[in-house]
Amino acid sequence: MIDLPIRERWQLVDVLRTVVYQCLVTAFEAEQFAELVSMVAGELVENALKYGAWDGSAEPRGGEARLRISGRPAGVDLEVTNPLPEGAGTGMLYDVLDRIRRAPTPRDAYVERLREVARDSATAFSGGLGLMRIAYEAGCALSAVVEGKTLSVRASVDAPLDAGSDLAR
Amino acid sequence: MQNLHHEGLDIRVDLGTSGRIGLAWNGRATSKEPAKILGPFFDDALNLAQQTSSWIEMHFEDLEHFNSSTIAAVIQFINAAHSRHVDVVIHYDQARKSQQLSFEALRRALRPFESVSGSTVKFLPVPR
Repeated sequence: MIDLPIRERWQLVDVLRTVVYQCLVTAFEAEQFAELVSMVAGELVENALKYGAWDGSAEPRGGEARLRISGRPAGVDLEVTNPLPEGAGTGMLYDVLDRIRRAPTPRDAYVERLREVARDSATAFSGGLGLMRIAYEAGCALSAVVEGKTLSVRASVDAPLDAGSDLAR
Repeated sequence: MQNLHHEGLDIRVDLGTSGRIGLAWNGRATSKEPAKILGPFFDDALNLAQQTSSWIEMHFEDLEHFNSSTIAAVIQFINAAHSRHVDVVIHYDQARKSQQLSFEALRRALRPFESVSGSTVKFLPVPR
């Protein structure tokens, strides 16, 4: 189990991603799997920093922000938790998850979103692209839960058959 | 045109071959708002390409990681190159699953744009 605090420092994303990569690659000798899981961790933590309740100090307002990763026999589960800003909705997040579910494949959802981003060059907004990317590239199941003012986004990544014998050790 | 250094990312500019602008990506592209940095850099590259009738060759083989915001900036660049009639060639590491998946999705996403009159975009997987 990896359980790390998330602070409002953008450079921290790369540090956390690297830590996750090093842990997995050392423990399971599965470099490509470690790269995918660390990419998932990076995208989820980036979203927490972009959309969480931050006010310029290192700690979020109204609760903790954390990255948790646990092993299971055939993969890993990631969870990123962060408090939501006052009055913030989660409609866009659930729309993105719904788009992924409704698409024939996660790749179709991601490719369609890439096309939208390509056409919309007037804006740098690329919301939802990260979640669609991890659903496609890491083949993971995504879900989100709001409890009170805290959002938890969960991703389950299955390991390929050649990615180490027992990931739950 | 100058090399780009920003946070953990380096993009080396190679103008050593006539008619070719080489951009070699190294390190990690993890900026929060990459478009702010990459947008002007890409504009310079496209302006130079148009002035010198060059194509742009991007090398991603040595890039360790890029976040989805950077992917968004890259696809917007390719689309801009297409509408400005600048050919683009993208090289990536075929042996790395993450790059294989990322560039396969980009290639698919750009298919509808190919039918519109513009330039060509080629994706070249590099065996390593």
